[in-house]
Amino acid sequence: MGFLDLPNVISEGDLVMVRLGKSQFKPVTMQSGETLHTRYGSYPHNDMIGKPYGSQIPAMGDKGFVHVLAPTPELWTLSLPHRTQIVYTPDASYIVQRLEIRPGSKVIEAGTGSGSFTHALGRTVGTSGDVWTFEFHEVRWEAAKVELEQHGYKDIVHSFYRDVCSDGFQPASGVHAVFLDLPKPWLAIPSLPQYLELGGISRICCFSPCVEQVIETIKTLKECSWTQIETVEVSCREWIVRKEMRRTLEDVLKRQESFRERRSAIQQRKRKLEELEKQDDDDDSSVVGSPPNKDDIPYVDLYNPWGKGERIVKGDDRFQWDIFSAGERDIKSHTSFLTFAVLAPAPPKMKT
Amino acid sequence: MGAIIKPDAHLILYLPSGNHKIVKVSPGRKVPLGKFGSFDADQILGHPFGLTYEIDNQGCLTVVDSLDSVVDEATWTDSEDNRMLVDDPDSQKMTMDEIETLKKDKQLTGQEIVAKVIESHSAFNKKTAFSQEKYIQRKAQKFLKRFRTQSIGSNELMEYYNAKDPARIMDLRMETLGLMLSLANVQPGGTYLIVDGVSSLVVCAVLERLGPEGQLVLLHENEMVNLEPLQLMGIDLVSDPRVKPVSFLKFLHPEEFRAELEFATAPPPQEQLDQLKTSQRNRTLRRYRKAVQYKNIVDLRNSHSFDALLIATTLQVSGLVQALIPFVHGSRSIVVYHPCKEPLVDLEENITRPDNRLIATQILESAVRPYQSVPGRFHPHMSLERGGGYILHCLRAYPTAVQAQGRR
Repeated sequence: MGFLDLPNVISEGDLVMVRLGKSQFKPVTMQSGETLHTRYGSYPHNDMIGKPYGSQIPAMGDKGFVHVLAPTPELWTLSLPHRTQIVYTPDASYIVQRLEIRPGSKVIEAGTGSGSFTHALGRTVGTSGDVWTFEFHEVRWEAAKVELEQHGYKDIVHSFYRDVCSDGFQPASGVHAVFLDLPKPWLAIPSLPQYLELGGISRICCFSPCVEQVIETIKTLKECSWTQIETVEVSCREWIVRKEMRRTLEDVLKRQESFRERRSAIQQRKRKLEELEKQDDDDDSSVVGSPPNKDDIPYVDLYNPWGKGERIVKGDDRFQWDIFSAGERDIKSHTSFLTFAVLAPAPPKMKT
Repeated sequence: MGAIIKPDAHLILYLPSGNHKIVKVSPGRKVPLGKFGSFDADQILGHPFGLTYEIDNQGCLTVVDSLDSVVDEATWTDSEDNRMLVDDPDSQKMTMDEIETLKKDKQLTGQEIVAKVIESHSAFNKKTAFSQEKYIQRKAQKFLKRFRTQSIGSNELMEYYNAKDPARIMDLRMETLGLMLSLANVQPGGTYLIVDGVSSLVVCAVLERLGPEGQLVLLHENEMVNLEPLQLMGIDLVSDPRVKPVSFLKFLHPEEFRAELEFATAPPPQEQLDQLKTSQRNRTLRRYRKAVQYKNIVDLRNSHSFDALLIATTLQVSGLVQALIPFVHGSRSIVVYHPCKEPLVDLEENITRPDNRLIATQILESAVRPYQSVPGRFHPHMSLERGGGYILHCLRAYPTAVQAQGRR
């Protein structure tokens, strides 16, 4: 089963994304007899094969569990072996939408890199489309090509080992959308028109981390008649939901009142003890009345509305809880600049 | 060959001012363009989309390369910096009336007017080259009579509503819509469950990614689904066989519609139809077709195997998601959009996290920051449209009965 099959049940040979932690996924190919060993226990593949995707699988010996998920380009992006900096989902999803990539679209990608975005492109163009992807690093090209074939993109994604800046984009043709993630995209832009769809609108996105690259790219796009040039940055932030105990001003006042009461009680007790001691000194003879007793002195409990001094589990129903959200602390504030442009079709002869 | 403009097509026309206009182009008809005048539709029929035209005073079109480029016959000089430039409202010697006269009586083109306006600016040569270019561009946006054609898809629809009435699409933006589609793994051939309170924008966007084999069940909150508005823009959801609208009541409680479901099991017998009047027969057949479609939706529902649930609605999302969880297949996504974070925080805290049928919940906020993308003057824009809204994403899981308790 490949990424594009939307499978329901896990079969022998399937690539399964095993969810180990919050956003920790491990790609595992199902082979009966094999066992997946993790920090969270061991899981025989036979316990997974035949189960529907999404199932929770208990560990052998009942220590923990994992979920077995169907692969998607997004989960793959979170788990893939990084050979290069990759295009993450917030960027990738925006690029696909803005370049208007659809089923049947013809797309150029250079370079392939780790193949993360290639998966997303292949998913969207589907079996009626084509993705021509080019990589100038032989080992990376080979690794991505093998992965893409194993993942069911054989007929959709066409991988080439090539430097597009010097050697062009053959055999791509009729292309609607171009994605360039190259150190010097401006060297590849001038040769593009011959590969683009005749009489159609073409869209491009150049992915560059540095301002210097962006400036050179914009200049070249302009020289090559691309229009609607716009550079943007996508930033994506996760919001974490938090439970916080509700601590009110009323409770503060009550608590401070109880501090006061306790203090005056302590002073009372002190006075009383002093009085008793004085009595003892004055009156050495026979003891009259009750003997001095500390327990007679009133003790004041502090008002403790928030369980101070206790171990409290969030959500404890003896307390009131508020639900808040906070932005994650470490955000990816800059991945790359995305420079978009559009190339208009060649004008037809005007009717007069 | 790319797509061409066919007779009676709807298109969106982008104007130099940044505004746009949706028009229909029919053979032999004029297309009105407000203060630009009008032009004969025949001039652009058969052309590819994406061309930019200039319209002269007679309504004749010529193809130009962009909306705001002005032929540069620079006869003026510029300054290194603006030390000599004095802020003077009278530096422009031409009045609005004079410009109007140029347009109306002398029939000058937009380009000629821009040239005149520059000519009559007394301090133009005291501006820097950058500032001159900016000035020209501003005047070009004001006086050039140009437009660019574009077919109408989800991005254009979004732009249209964003300018006209963003509330109708709940302020949904391209980066957020794109992220929804990716997280929901929308792909050709999939089957999706959708709640769309954003003028069918999510429906349109999903359809664009669906291919001919895919389908979507659209849950609606009224008596009848309203898909007509998009017809005015040439997007036909009404007769698209991939779109299967159904009310929440009929989707969640098919047991209350047994009669209709039974009616769908076999076509009305021919001899029975023969006895009916034509109008009655047509009504019966229509009723049968609708029942078949309903049965088809109920079958999809009962298979509990939707490939994603996508929601963008002003309905309270917590209860809505809770009711729809069972119909989503394991390992598939639930994606909920809302312009405000609070409803999603409530959804996560009270529904998705406590429920072990859902895992990997996250709330995301994606925003695009555009830059002034001019060579030599690359910098962030001074003002920024913010507010792309929020997305809650989680995955459907099948918990194991014993194990899952207390371990989330």
